[in-house]
Amino acid sequence: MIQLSDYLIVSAILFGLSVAGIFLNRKNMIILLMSIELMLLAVNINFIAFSYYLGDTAGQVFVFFILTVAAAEAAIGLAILVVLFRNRRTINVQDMDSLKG
Amino acid sequence: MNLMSIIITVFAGSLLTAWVSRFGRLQAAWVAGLITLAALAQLLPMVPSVFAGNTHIEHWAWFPSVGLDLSFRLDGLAMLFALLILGIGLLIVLYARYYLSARDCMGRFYSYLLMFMGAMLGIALSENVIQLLIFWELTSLTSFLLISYWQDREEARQGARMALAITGAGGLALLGGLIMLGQIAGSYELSVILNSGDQIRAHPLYVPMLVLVLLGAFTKSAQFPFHFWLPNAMAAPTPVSAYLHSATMVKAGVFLLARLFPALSGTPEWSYLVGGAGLMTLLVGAVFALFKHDLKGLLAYSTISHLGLITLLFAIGTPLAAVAGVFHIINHAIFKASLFMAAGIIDHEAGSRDMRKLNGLWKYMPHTAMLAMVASAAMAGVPLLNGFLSKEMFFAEAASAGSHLKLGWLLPAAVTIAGIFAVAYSVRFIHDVFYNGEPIDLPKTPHEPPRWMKLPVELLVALCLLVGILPQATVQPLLEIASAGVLQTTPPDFDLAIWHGVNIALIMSVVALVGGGLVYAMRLPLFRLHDEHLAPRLQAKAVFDHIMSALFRFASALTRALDTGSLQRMLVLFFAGALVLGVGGFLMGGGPLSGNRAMLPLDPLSLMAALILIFGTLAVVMSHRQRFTALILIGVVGLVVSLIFVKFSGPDLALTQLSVEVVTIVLLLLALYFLPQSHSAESPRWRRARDLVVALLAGTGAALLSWAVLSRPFTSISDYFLANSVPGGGGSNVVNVILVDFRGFDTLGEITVLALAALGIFAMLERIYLPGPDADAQGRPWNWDKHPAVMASFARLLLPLALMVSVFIFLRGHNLPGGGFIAGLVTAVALIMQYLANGEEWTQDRLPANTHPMLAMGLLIATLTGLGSWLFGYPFLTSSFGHFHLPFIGEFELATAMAFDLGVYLVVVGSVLLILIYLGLMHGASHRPASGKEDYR
Amino acid sequence: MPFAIPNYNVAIPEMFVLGMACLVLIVDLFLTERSRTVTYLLSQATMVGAAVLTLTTYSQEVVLAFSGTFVRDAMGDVLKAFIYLSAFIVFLYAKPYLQARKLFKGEFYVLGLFGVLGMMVLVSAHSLLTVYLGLELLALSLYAMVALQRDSIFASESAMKYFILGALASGMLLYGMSMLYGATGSLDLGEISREVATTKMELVMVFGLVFIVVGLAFKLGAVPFHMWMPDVYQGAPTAVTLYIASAPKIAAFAMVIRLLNDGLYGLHMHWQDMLVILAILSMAVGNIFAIAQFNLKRMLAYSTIAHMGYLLLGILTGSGDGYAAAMFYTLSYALMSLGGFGMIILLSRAGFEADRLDDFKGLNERSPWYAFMMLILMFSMAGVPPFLGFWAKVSVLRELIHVDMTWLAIVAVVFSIIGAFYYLRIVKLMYFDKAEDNSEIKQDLDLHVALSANSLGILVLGIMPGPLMALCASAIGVM
Repeated sequence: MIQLSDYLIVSAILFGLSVAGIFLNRKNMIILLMSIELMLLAVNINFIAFSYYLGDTAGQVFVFFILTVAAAEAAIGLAILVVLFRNRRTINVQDMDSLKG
Repeated sequence: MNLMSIIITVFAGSLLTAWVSRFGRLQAAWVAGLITLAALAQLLPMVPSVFAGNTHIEHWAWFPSVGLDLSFRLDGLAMLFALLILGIGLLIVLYARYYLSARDCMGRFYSYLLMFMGAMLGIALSENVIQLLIFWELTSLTSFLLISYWQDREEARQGARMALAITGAGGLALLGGLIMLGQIAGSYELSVILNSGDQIRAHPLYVPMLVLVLLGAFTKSAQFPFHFWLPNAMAAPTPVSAYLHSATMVKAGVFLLARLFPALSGTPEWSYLVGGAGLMTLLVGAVFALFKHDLKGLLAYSTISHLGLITLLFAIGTPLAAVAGVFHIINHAIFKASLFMAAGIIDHEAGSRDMRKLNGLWKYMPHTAMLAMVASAAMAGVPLLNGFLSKEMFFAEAASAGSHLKLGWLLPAAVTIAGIFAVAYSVRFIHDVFYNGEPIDLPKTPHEPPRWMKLPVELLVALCLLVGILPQATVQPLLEIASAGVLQTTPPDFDLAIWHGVNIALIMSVVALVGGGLVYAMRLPLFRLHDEHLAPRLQAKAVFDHIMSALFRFASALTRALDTGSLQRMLVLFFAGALVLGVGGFLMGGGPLSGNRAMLPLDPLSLMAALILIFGTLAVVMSHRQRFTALILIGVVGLVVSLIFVKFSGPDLALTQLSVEVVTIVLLLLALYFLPQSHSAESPRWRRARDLVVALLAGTGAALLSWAVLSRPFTSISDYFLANSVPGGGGSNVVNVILVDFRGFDTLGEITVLALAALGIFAMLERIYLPGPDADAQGRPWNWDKHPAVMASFARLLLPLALMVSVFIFLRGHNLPGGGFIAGLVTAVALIMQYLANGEEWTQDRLPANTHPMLAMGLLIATLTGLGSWLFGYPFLTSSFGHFHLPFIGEFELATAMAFDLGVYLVVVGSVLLILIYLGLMHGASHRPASGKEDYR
Repeated sequence: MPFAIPNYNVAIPEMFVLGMACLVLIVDLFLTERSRTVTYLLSQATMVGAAVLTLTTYSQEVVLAFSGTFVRDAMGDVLKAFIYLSAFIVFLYAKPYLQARKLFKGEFYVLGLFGVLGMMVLVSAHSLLTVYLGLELLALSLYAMVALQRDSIFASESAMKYFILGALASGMLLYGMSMLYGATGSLDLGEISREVATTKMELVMVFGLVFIVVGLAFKLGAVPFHMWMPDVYQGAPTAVTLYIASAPKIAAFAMVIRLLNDGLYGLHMHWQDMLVILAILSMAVGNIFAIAQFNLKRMLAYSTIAHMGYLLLGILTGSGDGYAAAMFYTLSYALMSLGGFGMIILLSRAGFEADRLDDFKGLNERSPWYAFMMLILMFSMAGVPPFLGFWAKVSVLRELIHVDMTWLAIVAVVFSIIGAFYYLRIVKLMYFDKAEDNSEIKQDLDLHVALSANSLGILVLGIMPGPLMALCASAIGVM
């Protein structure tokens, strides 16, 4: 029988990995976006596992919500990326430094 | 008559003055004079009552929740200041009328002057200390306007800025101090504060509070080391200088010391802080005054010195010293105002203030010379003039205070030295200007000023003489009542006789007079000494400028180092910040990391899923160079997650996850098509190592966190678990649970976000065209056969099938809003397939790309369904209109929930199509650009 | 059991704004460039209508709706009223700016209205889910609005940075929420509050709290989660900066109160320490970095960061009076910020942004009136009496000393002294320097009137702060 803990560990690992992804691939914006998506997946696993073991459905409803919103967010992010690419002809993270103090 | 109306009169007069100045230059002066008189006329009726020993206090409700009333207080001290402010103010108004030239805007000057006067009156008459602070800062602001009156002069601007910076900043410190004071005393009202001196002095916050309050007082009254703004502020028109230096502005600082004297004085901290600053100021001011060649510069430093004297008197702390302090405030105001005005007349009529050029003016303006000489003698402390009396008291107090101390002779000695220099600079003022040969190339030939310009000086000099000769008859009652106001008790007996016999004070006076004469005689070698050694080193202004530029350099360096606009650095800071907070929270949270809950064994299936998930994620992170691989892996991870959802008995959740996943992948594919394939160079090794460490730390943090959660027996959860859940799965399913309006609200929110995202994307991408690449990363050309016939016909076949499915899902889930959502996603995916398979041209002829109306209608329908329930007064959706039986689907209910679901469906289809189509429409390379709309650069 | 549609009348203003946003969306499709004013007028009507709906049903009563996910109370109503007011002013100021730059499109208004809706939901949130819903509605609108000026390198770059950091922050927030959910078994803030008060699972909750505080700090722009602010303020079109810098801060304040007070008051000891760190860092970084800026929008961003530090001071006291002071601070800040960015819009014209400090040189020669208005704004931001900003600082400091955090009050005073210098620099530029550009200030009459009223309002409220403060106190419920 699987325990709540297993799911939470999986989720924590997922979370940690996505943070790692954000760091190790700080050059490429797309991977950055994907890592953020992964992070939200980790959150979803957390919620769904808690919800199941708590016997409380509110957590699942929240997951519905996060799913949709995450997709919408990703879409907005991609659109911004496209606009940025059109202006700058690059999507490398380190090229984004035209604004500074 | 009341106190507030006095202040309102003056402020309103300021506006009136500005307004009447449009009717002629001199109108403003007349109005300003009348306003001042009107204010005086309101004050005078209350004077007898104050002399009878009464204190007037007025309250007006103002800011009750902060415990703040508009409250005013008229006691001896307040009355003394109000009289000085208005009396000298009146003379200044008269004097300025002749001083200002035709080029100067009278209205502006008098308007500022009255505003400043009002603010000063506010300080003097405030009962509430916060209110006092407001007026305090107002004097900083209005004096800024006055000092910078001649804006075209560089030194005026600099002087004004410095004055505002120093006094304004001091005011902020004072704010902190006064709030603390109010907190300690339990009230912001002076009547309470002045009576709780013991409580205040014993409070642990006494010292920080005192330091903050003193910072405010010292900056305002130009005490060392904040004295430098005052000489720089003399760039103001002379009437302003005369006013600022005599009755107002700098006197606000000593007023505050006097006002809070009963509450704050009498501790060693008070004596050392106040006394130290006062003594330094006294000496520094006196010495530097001698070396100033500018008439106003000499007077400015002498003001500093006299303020130091007054401060020192309050520091000594005996009642008699306080009386002497008040007396010197009066005397200094009188002689300093007259001296500045005389200096202004000289400047005005001779065209210079440089004492190296101004010589022998006695011949040209004997009347003015006489007045200036008397006033200057008063400043030096010559007997039979007012300055002598208060200086005698000061010497006596210094001598007796010194006798209590260990190095007792130091204080009287220092004070005597200051006295010597005071005499020396006073002599210089007289001798250098009015004697000492002939004037040296002055721009104008000096002559006497107009009759009325001299009048204020004459009046003040007459006062010097009157007070000096007949002190008991003139100033004694006022001094008594004002001292009572300071001490808040009956003042000690004091004797204002001119002759007290030969005592230590008299000896000090004589030494000062003789020594002063000698120092003046040796002035030339002293000047040389000063110019060569002292002047370059002791430039407080330079120190100020240096501090300011250092602050600016510091800020710039920090900005360059940290505010680089680099997103990478932002991310590092972001995670580092979270980590620090996390570790901090952990340390503060206390308790062991690990709980004592027993771990339970794993089942192989879940282990598999978990491993796939972890490796999938790992692979995504690793394969950042192959974008499409990463994409596919993301898809895998998404699938596994939806499997987990199934496992947790959330089939509709899994369905949503699946469809969202598909849409997201399509989205990413579309975007990836446009974005460059090349990847940039990797970071250097050390950087990657650093990043790895940060990432590992963050990951470990997250893992530890879970560990902490899991290894604890949490009662609430396990109870719940036992009660509600069937072992090995099952549990409750979202589908079977009624969450009443929670789910409805959530769905409405969901579709709003979706619609919003679609609109945002539309706003960003509308009519943007990007050329797509024609080869992939490996240089293989894209297949130009865009719409393979097989796929096209297959997709067309699929469409009705997919629509069927979505109708089925829609109807099945009619009493749960999830139905419309998933149905919408399925429909959208099917339609997108048509785009992909048949091309845009084909599809657009059959389906509009702009789905705005669909979106908006959907949202409106969903919202209105909700509103309907409100209009009809009962839960609208619960009402059903009949049951229907459809083949294959079964029993279903036609209810208003259908309408809501329809709205959801429309929004989902509309949004998804809008997003995908507009991403797809962007490139004109392989597709027809929409006619005439191209704006690709 | 059928699914039931909720009791909507608690959320009538929200429904109204949502409906109107859809209406504007549809109407705008049928408008041409020249008749676009209709969109503008409809948006303004929406704000007025929402204000009427909210204020006519104002009561001190607390009503829960939608299974307790949504709360309507006095604080929410007052904050919403100020959100409408801010949005109204933003739309008004923004119009000439957008028109001059070919940005006068329906999208700005639709996104703006959705953003307002998001803020309203955030203000009324009584469940973690509602908080997230409001947050995302607002955030997605803002991302898109920043990128609205598609041809601007700066706008798209700042939108990208904003998006990445924002998505990250909401991910953090969600992770924290999931922890909290696990620890308390509920999404409902009321139930969470009860659980937190009784359970012993401190550590887990503290960790959840950390993530939540990170999310909150990001939204407020508190250091070290402030990095998006300077870039976004500078990079976004001024009309959008104006929007971001005003109403969302009011909503962020509500979010902090809802989560930390309504939900996690049991952990006050813990979040107080975290907020102390954030507040000190914000005041320090905001005030020091602002000194070295040459771009006014960027400088105001740093000044905002500093203001958020002061605002946190009020919240961390954890007392009703402290919240009231922080609320007062937030509302004052919103008004000052509107005025400040409004001035930039006033001086700008097509092809000229007027966002450098040097663009304000010699304003006194060009227009003594607006130099004076700007002087009011700058002094108010510096916290000098008798302007509104002074009272904001006084109330916050007073509450700090009240809970025996005098040392923190002294730190705050020291930083506000440093802060005074850069505001003073603007005054110096306006009054003492020669103008680089002597062109006449040409703008619509309504902008002139509104901006003057905005600035004078700060002076008037500075002289009579009682009613506003009383309103805040009664809204928080400390009277």
